[in-house]
Amino acid sequence: MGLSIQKSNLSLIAPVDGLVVARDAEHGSTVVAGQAVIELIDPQQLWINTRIAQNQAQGLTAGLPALIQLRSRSTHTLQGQLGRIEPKADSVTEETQVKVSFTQPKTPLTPVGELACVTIALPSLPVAPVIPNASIHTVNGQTGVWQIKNAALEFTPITLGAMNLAGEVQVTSGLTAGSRIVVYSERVLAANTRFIVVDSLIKNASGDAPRD
Amino acid sequence: MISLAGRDILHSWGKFVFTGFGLGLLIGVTLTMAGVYRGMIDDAQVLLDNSGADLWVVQQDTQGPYAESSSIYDDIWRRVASYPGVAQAASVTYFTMQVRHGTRDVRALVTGIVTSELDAPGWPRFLIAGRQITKDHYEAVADVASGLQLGCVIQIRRNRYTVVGLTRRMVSSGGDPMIFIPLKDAQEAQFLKDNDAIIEQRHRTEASPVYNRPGVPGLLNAVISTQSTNPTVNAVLLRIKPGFNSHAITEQIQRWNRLQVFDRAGMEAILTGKLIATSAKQIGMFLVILAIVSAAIVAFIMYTLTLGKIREIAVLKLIGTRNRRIASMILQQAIGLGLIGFAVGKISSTLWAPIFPKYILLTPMDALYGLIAVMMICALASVLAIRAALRVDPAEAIGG
Repeated sequence: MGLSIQKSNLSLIAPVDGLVVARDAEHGSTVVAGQAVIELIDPQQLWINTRIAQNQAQGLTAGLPALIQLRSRSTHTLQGQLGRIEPKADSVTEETQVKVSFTQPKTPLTPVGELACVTIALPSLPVAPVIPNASIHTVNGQTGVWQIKNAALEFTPITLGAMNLAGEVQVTSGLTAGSRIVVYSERVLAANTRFIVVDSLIKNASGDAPRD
Repeated sequence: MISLAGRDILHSWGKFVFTGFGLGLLIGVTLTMAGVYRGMIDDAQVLLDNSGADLWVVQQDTQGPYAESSSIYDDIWRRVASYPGVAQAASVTYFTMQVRHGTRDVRALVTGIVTSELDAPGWPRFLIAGRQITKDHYEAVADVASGLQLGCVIQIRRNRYTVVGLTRRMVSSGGDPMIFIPLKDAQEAQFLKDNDAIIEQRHRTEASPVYNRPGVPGLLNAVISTQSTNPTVNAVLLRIKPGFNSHAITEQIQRWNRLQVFDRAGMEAILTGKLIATSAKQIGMFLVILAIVSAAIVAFIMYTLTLGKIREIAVLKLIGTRNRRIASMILQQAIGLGLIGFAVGKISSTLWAPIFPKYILLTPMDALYGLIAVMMICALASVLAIRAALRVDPAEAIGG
């Protein structure tokens, strides 16, 4: 009786049904207390540990839709959503850690540990004028844009709001909708630079940024 | 008064023009060589201009990041950003590598830039198409000299990057086009070993009884994970607030940190005085020799042209033409030849300069110096010919 209780103490019982992904000890190995013997996952509960730079982690809430690209299937974009924002950030890498789950359970199983690229869609912002990020310059320590006023260049300091992935930046002050600004130039501009406005600086270039 | 020089040129204008044309091509080569030299210096200058920095913070006792390798921790920027007078500070990495695009590869200076701040130091200062990087990963801005276009996918180490923006004249001091990628990717690309080396290293660590001890679970994994991190960058670029003295900031940072700081003048001295000094001297030496050879050829051409006219000059002397007129005829011809040569040289060098793979900077001042030099060489060269002409015996016109 006592012997069988002692023996049952030695058997390891998994808390859930799952798939063994690693066996760290063999028959006859000596293991110490706290050492992992078998690693087990539940394939239905896979998620992606996503690290987001803290300065870009503003506005993250659980439930936001996410687009997932797995490195092994980079042409496919999978749907997912933001599951949880970890209460503890990584202080070394200065990143907020979030969990992103797949909307549809993945079949076939993605190897655990695979690299994934996650794009999280933030809620839309109130409408404000936007400028391309290529037009933003720093002159004498001030951030601003080169504006075309009365056929002359004028540097206008501006304050910037949020930027989207297509490189459009909201302008909170300094510019009004309909202002003419310089986006591309052949060289670094100054107030007395002579200029000609052209459609495009390179041949065969569509003015738009490429699709992401 | 008839123009003897004009008459003589009209008499054999084909020979004159062709000689001038040949001379012109030689002058064109000389001007181009001067352009190569200027372009080389300019490449070094634009590298500094394009970084948009006032101060460079690098590893102590190195002359990095361009001339020597420099490696500092990637949180140093925070420490130096807190000095009074520092407006912006940003880490940056530079490494030259072959970037694969499809089947070909492009030699490029891959530059890692911070993505957290718009127009931070190190960012491309202007674009000619597309947009700046917005994602933290897998986007690139390339110089148009790399031949890449918007939407191209390039491979750097194990990752693929989409070109989202194009720049112009963003080159390394060696003239290689720059490709900007996010700092995190660049750090990985710069320090990441190839997969085989990583696996080998893992096996080596596993085989070591020091790290793989029985009874200490987790030690091996901890050791392996420390082996594969790389929290370093090559330099921190600083922008200074208007009105602050860069010397004072340099002094403060160098005094209390184990770092080296260079200002713009110091960096320029390293680049032009050390990094490209030998190749610039090489080109400069070649330029001097070309100039001497050109001068010798002009002198030789003038001399033979005059010797070909010995009989005519003798006749002129016989009919009583003054030495001064004969000398001025030869001088005018030499100057005319020089002018044709210079025009042809200037046009040809302007035409073929854009075809060169590296930047060639033809400055108006160089052209002016070239013109003055050509005129002086022609005038000097004609002295030899004039001496020969004046020694001609008038009797040769009938005897000979």
